[in-house]
Amino acid sequence: MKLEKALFDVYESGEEVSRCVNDILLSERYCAACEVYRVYLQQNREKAELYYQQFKAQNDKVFKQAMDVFDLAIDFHNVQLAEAAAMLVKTMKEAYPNFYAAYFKQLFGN
Amino acid sequence: MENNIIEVEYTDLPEDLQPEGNIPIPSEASFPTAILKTVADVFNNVTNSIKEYSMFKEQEKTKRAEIKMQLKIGLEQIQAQKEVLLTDLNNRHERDMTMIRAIDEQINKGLDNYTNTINGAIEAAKKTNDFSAVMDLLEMMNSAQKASMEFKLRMMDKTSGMPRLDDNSKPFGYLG
Repeated sequence: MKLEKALFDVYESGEEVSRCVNDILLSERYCAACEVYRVYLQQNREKAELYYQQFKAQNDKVFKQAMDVFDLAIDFHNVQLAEAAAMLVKTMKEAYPNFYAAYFKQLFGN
Repeated sequence: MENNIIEVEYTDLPEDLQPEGNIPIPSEASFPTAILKTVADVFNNVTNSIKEYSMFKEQEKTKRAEIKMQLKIGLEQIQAQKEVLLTDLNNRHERDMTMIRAIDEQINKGLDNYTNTINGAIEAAKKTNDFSAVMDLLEMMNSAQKASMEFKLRMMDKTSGMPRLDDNSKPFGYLG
């Protein structure tokens, strides 16, 4: 009787070990997914930052051009030149909200 | 004090069931034979127990090896899948970054060309006081700026989806 109980206990322990192994594998899988997700987020951030730098650099150029044309329009009292410069600024202004929306989407993925 | 005696009625067996003569009762009259028989019984029991124990031990060994192998194979599979996904991610990222830089270079070249041309036209217009060429160039620059912005936004929109491992289950007992 004692031997039978011992055998049963050994069997139960074996089953418990099997369950632990399944839990270990699940944890490992979850950690692997976390590692992949971490790399994905890091790469998204790099891309988003690059887009932001490029957007800023281009806007700075356009802004400088617009300022120069404004100065010219003021000096030569030319309304059409001023309107053309204002159009440049307006295009820049309209681009900002769309860019920032896309920037945040790029930063954090889908 | 009462007597707890169960009253039983004794009856004789029916005639057809009554045994004929004396019934022989087997017995080990010889003492050494009895001892030998007992020893043989004990030996048999011990041998059977040893056999059962050996069988069980073998099964246990097999099961242990099975569990160990299951863990090893499972871990290796997960590692391999992770490596594949990471390699895929890294390759895609490198490709995307190269493309983003190349496109930006082209856009910047175009922008610089416009800026240089506009500045040249401004210098010429200052002398003649005719700024129509400057305004045309500004309009073209504005359109180019809009187009390049839309293109950039479309490019940003094409963010690659998150790759997943085949089984996304959370560990047992995980709260979240």
